[in-house]
Amino acid sequence: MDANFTRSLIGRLIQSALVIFLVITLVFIAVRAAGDPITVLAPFDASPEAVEEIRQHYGLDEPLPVQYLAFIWNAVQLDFGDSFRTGQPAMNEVVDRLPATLQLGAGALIFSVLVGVPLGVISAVKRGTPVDAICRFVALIGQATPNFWLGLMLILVFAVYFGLLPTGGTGGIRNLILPSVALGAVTLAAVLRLTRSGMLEVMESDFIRTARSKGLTERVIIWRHAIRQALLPVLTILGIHVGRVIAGTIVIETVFSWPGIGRLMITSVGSADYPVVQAAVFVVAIVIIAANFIVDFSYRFFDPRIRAAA
Amino acid sequence: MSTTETASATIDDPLGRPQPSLLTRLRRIRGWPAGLMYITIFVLFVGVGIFAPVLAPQDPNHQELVERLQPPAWQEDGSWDRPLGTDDLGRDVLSRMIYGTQIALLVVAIGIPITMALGTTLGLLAGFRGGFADKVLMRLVDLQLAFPAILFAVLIAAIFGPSLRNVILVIVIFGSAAYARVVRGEVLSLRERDFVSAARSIGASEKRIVARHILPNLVNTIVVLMTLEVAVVIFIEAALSFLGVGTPVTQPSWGQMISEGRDYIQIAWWLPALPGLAIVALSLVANLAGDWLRDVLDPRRRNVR
Repeated sequence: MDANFTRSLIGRLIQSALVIFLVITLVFIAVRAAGDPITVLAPFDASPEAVEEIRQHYGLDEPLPVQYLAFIWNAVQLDFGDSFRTGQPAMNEVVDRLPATLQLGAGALIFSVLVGVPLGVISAVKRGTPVDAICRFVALIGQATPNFWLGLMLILVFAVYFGLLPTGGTGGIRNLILPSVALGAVTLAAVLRLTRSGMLEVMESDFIRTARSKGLTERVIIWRHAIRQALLPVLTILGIHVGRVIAGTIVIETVFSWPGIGRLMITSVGSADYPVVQAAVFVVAIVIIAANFIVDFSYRFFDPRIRAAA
Repeated sequence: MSTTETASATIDDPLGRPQPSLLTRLRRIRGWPAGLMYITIFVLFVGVGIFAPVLAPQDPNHQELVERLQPPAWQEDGSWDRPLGTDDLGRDVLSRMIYGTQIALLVVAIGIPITMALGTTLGLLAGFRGGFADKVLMRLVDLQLAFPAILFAVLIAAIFGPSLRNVILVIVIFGSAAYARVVRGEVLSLRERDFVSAARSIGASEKRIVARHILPNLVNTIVVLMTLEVAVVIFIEAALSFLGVGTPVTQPSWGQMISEGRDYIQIAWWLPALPGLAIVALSLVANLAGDWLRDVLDPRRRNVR
């Protein structure tokens, strides 16, 4: 941990805080433009006085700048107010749903790496063979298939037709399989392609020739030496894909009736439940930024050249 | 992504050698058969979109409740009057898919050029000017990455109601980040190159350097990126329509058809399945064309693939 490292770490932390500030400001403006929560909060036949009382109770009668300052002040303390619908603290509602979304996201990323990396390596090693052709076709299809449709087709085949797996909901590892595959397919395609091109490049390099001339077996060369180099770009793309996977949960959770943040966001926008939308967007932004943060800094430890340059 | 040596060598050929004509350059491109196939299929899709009113056997919104949930022609009980069957309201699936092609291509044709223009301008500004403009832009790009586009679209739809215009708005706002990042990266390396310093030393204005020396070197990258963004744009439109915040119900789109068909997945597989196949086919062709173009335009990448 040298001074340079500490300085760039602090710099990144400040930048991240700035981005989160921008995110919650944007969502503050957007939800207020999206709808008046009074339509949800007040009974249909409420008297004007009663409506006014409710407005005052939730601070909705204040001028917008005042509301905004109060919002930021509370957000800094992680207080996003109470849900308009349930009356529970909005942050609790979101945190309750967080494990389900993280499970789904982790399932998708694990699936994409566990399948994508070996296929990419095999594809590169067996370059030009039918095996390579099949792997590349898998990658192409994975990139060209919308995740929500893939999810429906998986339901159609494995749940409706063969009756092997549940169509949705939670419960066990069996419920997690189909949504993880649907959500991870695009990432799998990217991981496969990058692993393949990375391996092809690395296998030409000097240190692999050295390893060969030392008489190491091809298996040791590929899985011990080459793969470390080839996986660096994969790490970067995983960082980028964390955001996409989290965004993808919004649609996939709808397809598989998965009780995560994605579905919570959609229903909360529908019912103008500002506090929950704001808290959910805040948490999602933190997860995405944290993931990119970890990837950027783990990069330094994987590649000694970057460590030296920094 | 990196710049091509060949591109800068021809644009700023220090010896002033005559450049090969466009025809010669086209002839030198390898892999024409595959490329021609992708282009032909894409043009076919465009044709289907443009001539949708002529090609569609039925009015896509015409309901015939007695004919509801008819299976495709090749299945038992299917008939060639309804080649791809009918939906829960007795509307002709084939006709709706043909009109869906129109929507998908419309979003591509309007969304991608605007996104490209905005993203490229931002990227040029950030990369060439640097400093404050660069800092602001990169934070905006981070913002786009940290704020899920789908959620933004849902909020927009809640404000303005679902419409094609909103879909394009979301695509432009979130798609431009990709162009901005790539262009910025390229400009950062280009502006340090000798031919740019040379142009600057003979007193070329900033505007001229960007227009004559930087932009021509970006064309390849931008064209490839635009091709690869076709699938992304189609996905966004489909996902938004699937969530009910995309095209309004009077405009049949593929995503909307999948969303409506979802409720009938147990009894009418063709309703969610077929429109999705159209999305896969169009995205696949666009991606293949993009990969092919990248190989053609950047020969150094060829041996990696």
